[in-house]
Amino acid sequence: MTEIKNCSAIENELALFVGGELGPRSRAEVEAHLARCESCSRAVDRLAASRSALRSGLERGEERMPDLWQGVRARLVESGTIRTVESALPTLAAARRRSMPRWFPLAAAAAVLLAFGLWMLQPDEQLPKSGPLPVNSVALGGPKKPAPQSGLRRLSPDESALSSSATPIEALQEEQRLRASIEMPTGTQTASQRLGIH
Amino acid sequence: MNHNGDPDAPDVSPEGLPEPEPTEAEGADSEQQFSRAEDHQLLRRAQAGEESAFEALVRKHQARAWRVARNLVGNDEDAADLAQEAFVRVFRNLASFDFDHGFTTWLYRIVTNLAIDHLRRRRPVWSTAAQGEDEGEQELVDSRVASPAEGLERSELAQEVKACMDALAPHFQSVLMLREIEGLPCNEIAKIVGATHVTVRWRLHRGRKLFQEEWERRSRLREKTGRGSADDTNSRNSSDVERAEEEGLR
Repeated sequence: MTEIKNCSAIENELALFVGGELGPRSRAEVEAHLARCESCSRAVDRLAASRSALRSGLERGEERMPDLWQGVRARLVESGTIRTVESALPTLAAARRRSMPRWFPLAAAAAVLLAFGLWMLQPDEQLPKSGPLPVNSVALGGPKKPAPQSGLRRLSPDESALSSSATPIEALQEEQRLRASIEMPTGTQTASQRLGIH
Repeated sequence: MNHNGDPDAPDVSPEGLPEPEPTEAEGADSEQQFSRAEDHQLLRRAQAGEESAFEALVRKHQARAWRVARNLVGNDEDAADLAQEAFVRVFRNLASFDFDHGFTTWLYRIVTNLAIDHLRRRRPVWSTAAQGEDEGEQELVDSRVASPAEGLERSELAQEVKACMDALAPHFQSVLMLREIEGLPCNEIAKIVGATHVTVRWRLHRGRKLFQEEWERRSRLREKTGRGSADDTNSRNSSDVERAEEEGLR
């Protein structure tokens, strides 16, 4: 059952009632009151009439509205907030023109080509084809110990193939040379030599 | 500061105003949700530097921006200027847009604030005596029973309504216009004007009452003098002004 409020309680709800801002419960209370109160009904009529004038008199149509985009864009460009593609490209080109002479790109390209050609025409001996670089070809600033080599290497005259520094293959080669010297042909040796008498 | 946290509001108790209840008008329908999603997509593209997306956003919302400004400041040129300035501010603050909220709420807030600042800088309308010299030619009928269009031509009605709105303080004007013309729910108006839901309902209630008083007062004067608002604007005495300022009239 909807409570029927008195006029003073309902008065402050009338302006929201005419605008449809009341919830279902409050609206029902106002309607119940208006059904019995002529004074408040007249107040609602006056409010509704002025509200109708307000809604009718305020601007609704956009028939006079100008297109705002061009103005917005012009302001953004003018303030430097945005820059158009058309204006940005000439600016970039102008900046490039200011920073270098017109012939500079051609001269730079020619210099690069010339340097490449000179490099290609260098003599072969200057270009090690394989193996490690000679020590003196490496700018190390003084005599350096050669880097450890992998694979076979030639023995130095004072280095024994049986020494600890020799590789197993070199030791075998040295052993073969010793065997060959022992097994020399007889005709080429003296008796004492054959007997081992010095 | 008053009870609603509204520094501009007169110190009138809102007790007696009903508590806000959910109303049918305050729900967002699917069309609004689609429009909001479309706005957010345009905003993301604009944030990425796509000028055409920002242009689409402007063209989509320029009518409402212009209309809000036009209804508050009262002339086409100022309205266009304010609406354009609002979009420039939108562009400059694209990066700070909060995607938890709708773009229209943000745009309305910017336009409304610009328009209110404009109104506060402008001279009060009632100090100009020459306005609407020929408005008094109209014979008004009782506003209680007749539609306003029956007694006034549309352009004259617009002038009368504008004169009544100009008599209200800007914070009443903005809330009335956002509700009556833009049809926004009170909770969205609250976000736009930076006030609570209760304060917006109070301003709506009070603004309608003040507009009604001004509308009826001008109607009575036109009937009495048969000359219209030129005499009307001069008819206010100092006590009228003091009373109006206390109650939110300008």
